[in-house]
Amino acid sequence: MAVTVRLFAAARSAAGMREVQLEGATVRDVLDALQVTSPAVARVLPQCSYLLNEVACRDHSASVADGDVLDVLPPFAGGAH
Amino acid sequence: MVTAGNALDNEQVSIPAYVSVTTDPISVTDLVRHVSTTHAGAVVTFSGDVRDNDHGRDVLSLEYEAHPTAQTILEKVVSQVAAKFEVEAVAVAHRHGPIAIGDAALVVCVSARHRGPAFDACSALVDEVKAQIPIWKHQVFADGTDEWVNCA
Repeated sequence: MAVTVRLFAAARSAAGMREVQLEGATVRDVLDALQVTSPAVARVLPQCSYLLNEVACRDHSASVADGDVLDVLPPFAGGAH
Repeated sequence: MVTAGNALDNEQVSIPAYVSVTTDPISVTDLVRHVSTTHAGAVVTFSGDVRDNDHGRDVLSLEYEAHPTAQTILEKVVSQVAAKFEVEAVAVAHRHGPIAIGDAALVVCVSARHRGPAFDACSALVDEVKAQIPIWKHQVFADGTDEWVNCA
């Protein structure tokens, strides 16, 4: 399955790219492929959350389909109170 | 990208809410107009401004990056939080893109019949919006280093 991975903020900076097409059957496959393509992004991924087609995706064993969009979201700015 | 503010009515309680994620400058003066009503005896405002320092270091410049869903998420958070308080109207704007030191990044305005709920709702809105809105902050320091905030 060909999935579009969109990288934001610190994930984009680490990877040096905004978007990449990757193959995989599950979210986990795609994230593994991402780290092969861009080893530098591995440092950021443990803190990230994910959106599959703009819906929160916590189950990395979830299947992906051709044309799906997986967003990699580093922690939000939040801020001190 | 500029997203125009949307006037929306909360489905459950119909609290008028103006919500905007924008690259344009935002101000308390502009947002207060959206909550002003003859029913309200209290208007509480918050302006979250860009500081020239963070953790004791001088900040030279700062940029916010917004996810494409930021406007939708902000609308959801604002209507959920506003529904918990006895308020007349709320207005929330979050800016993204490059922002000058001293400019407002987040403005929240709340009107209510009485000051208690207005203060409480304004404080809760600031906390929840900051926690949930998919926006990232990149700052460049005077010593030449830079960081994505909360992403060590």
